[in-house]
Amino acid sequence: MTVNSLEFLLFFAVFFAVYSAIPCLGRKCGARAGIDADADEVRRKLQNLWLLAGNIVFYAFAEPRMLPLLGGVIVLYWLFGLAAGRFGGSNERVAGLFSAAGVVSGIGSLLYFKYLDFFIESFADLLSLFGFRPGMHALGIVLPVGVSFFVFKLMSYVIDIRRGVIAPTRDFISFAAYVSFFPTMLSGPIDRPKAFLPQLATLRRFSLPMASDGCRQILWGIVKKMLLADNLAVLTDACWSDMASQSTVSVLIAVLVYPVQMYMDFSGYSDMAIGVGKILGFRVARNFSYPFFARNIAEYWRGWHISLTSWLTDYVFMPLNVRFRDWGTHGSVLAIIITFVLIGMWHGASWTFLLFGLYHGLLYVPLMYSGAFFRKSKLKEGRFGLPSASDAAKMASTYLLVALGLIIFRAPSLAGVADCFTAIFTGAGRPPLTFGLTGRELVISGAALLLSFGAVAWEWYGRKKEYVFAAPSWRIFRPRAMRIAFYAAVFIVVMMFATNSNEFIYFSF
Amino acid sequence: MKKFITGLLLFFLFAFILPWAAIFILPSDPDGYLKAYGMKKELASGPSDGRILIAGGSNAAFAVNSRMIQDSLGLDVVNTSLHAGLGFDFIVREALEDSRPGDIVLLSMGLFTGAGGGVGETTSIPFLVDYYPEKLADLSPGNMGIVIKGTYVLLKTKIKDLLVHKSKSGWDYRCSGFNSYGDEEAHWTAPSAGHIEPQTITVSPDDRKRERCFDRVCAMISQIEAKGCQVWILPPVLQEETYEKSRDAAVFLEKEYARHGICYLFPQSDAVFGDELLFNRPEHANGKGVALYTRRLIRALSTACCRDQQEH
Repeated sequence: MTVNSLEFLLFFAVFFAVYSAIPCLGRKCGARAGIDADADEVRRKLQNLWLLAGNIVFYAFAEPRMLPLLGGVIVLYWLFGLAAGRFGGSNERVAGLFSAAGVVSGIGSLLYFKYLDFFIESFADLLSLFGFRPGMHALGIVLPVGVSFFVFKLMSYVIDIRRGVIAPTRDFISFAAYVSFFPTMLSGPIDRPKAFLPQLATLRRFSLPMASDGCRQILWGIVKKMLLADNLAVLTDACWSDMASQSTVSVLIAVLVYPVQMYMDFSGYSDMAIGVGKILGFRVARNFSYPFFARNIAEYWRGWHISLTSWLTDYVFMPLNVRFRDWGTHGSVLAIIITFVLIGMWHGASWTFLLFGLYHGLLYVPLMYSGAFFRKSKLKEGRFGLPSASDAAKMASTYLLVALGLIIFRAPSLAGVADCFTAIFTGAGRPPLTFGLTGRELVISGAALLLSFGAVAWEWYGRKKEYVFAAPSWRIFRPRAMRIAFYAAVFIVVMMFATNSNEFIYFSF
Repeated sequence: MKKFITGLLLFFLFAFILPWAAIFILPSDPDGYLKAYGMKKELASGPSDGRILIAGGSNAAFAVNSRMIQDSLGLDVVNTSLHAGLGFDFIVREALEDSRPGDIVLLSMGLFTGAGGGVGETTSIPFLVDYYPEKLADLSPGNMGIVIKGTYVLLKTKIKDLLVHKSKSGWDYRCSGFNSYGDEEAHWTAPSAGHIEPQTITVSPDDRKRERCFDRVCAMISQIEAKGCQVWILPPVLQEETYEKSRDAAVFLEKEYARHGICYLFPQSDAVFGDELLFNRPEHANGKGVALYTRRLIRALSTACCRDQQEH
């Protein structure tokens, strides 16, 4: 059940009807808040309980077999948190042990579910290189849906308690609702407990501006995912599915288009998740900030999958940087490379993801040694608010580096990476620009590409707003009916040109 | 909250009701393929009893010569097969509606039919509703979901048909291509496409949706049997290469039917044809293919009927 599906719409309609009615239970809706604090507390608990029930139903749609596992780890980490808080201040050693147990359990579960099969297969391959026949086989472990996202939430909870950033929550329902929060369960953003748990500690009354804003952001997410990303995927998938018969120009186009497709796909989902969160009265973490207008790779990662990179910065890079501080810049470089290898491996158990992380880590090396990493220069705006020529050149080169890195990311294996480069260097004689698609598919993909560039530019141009449909200020949109008609027209166009694909790239992580 | 709800309702009015209004105002193709549904329903409601009722996707509409069967077996034949995109659910529900005690019901489900949970495709069910809006009342919730999703595909098609004059060159799926038994006969004499691009049809045994679909559909098949009908599965015509590439899917289907105690009339391997017997798709027979498939069907059916009589 994806956020842009009809099933979700039906589920959400029922869920939201009850959710938004809870604050009004037992009193006239719209009465002043805070009059009856005790009753409000009961309503809050009821609202969180209902949210948890919604989370369970949502997860059960995706993977019912893994519900006990999810429930189990939530209980375990809640207890870890309570124990770490209980001993914090009086017996730091024991408190530290509980936090460490949380971290080890998190890493252990990721290693088991995501990487064990990969390690077994790699080890068997290695042994077979030396002539051994180990008879080892992958265990076929089923990956729990959203494991990379909820395990990171759980680990940050116990670490933050240990660091004194947050106090452990005694409210199990709130904690469980935070970890399994359904809009972000399948594909992030990874909300931090410090920002999210306080939101669960207050009753969330319906807010028209926030809910309308949420709806608009969902619509913008739908545009990005269904109109743009899915139609771009037709082109890139066609190229990757038959790399050997593609021309140099076709492969280069597919390579250059893929970052845009991935951005539209992932940021589209993030927008939908944030929008759903807003309707429910939550501020969900932002996940993207104009990554294609980055002038170097460090700026790019500050704007790409922010909730993951900031998580790894806080919990991996910073501690490592402190640990390696005696080695100066070399230590920082080592810390950043380790962090990026982990970012790569977070995406899945494959040599390509490891290489992808290493590639990005190495791109930081010149920035670290030149000191550019530590300098944060403001973007100079030229005429019409456009970037200066030198900044534009830097942005283009960063984009190229990113696109190159995404070859490794997109390829099914290391051999696939080699196939892609082989096609680039040997495909000059092949007929260009067909991709094996029909003329109609080519036209739609081409139009989606142009629109995507337009959307990226529009987002950046209106970057003072959170997203492009936020608070429309054109005079024609002042009448409410006109605004709604415009959104409906956008929706109709999206649905008319949507493909049948409903897969999100980041669901597989 | 009231303002929010009125805003949402207004949005749905603009985004859903107005497109459907436009769909009903814009003209439909007077000879569209799915328009044949009405004609086939009329055939199925004909007076005779103890008929052979064929239901399925276009693989069956393009594979059978009903007159040959009628002449050989002396039983009336009605071919209600139309399009696999209508989905497993829809096709079997229609067969349940059309069948009468004493009928022999032959269900021909292509390998695609169970895809997507069997509730049909956005390019099929909404187009049928466009011709026959009264069908909306009979659709399952799953079909209704497809109608909602397919609204915009239908709207786009109608706008395109209005703006761009349809090319009349080449062969096209038409309502007028069906004969009085419900067989698509226009393609019997049309030139074949030559080499046909094979397809790979995969089935995931872990697909819960598909399993639920089979359980639901097989329950409907049991209802047809409970009416006093004999039900057989007709193996779909399949191109050799496609069969090789999709063998797992074919085996999976056979196992699923067997699990529910439903038998094939003759083995799938007898319906695997080379390109010389195919028309334009891996599951559409040409004139020669139709003749061969029908002969095999008659032979298998007479054997099955004899066996059945002996058992009785």
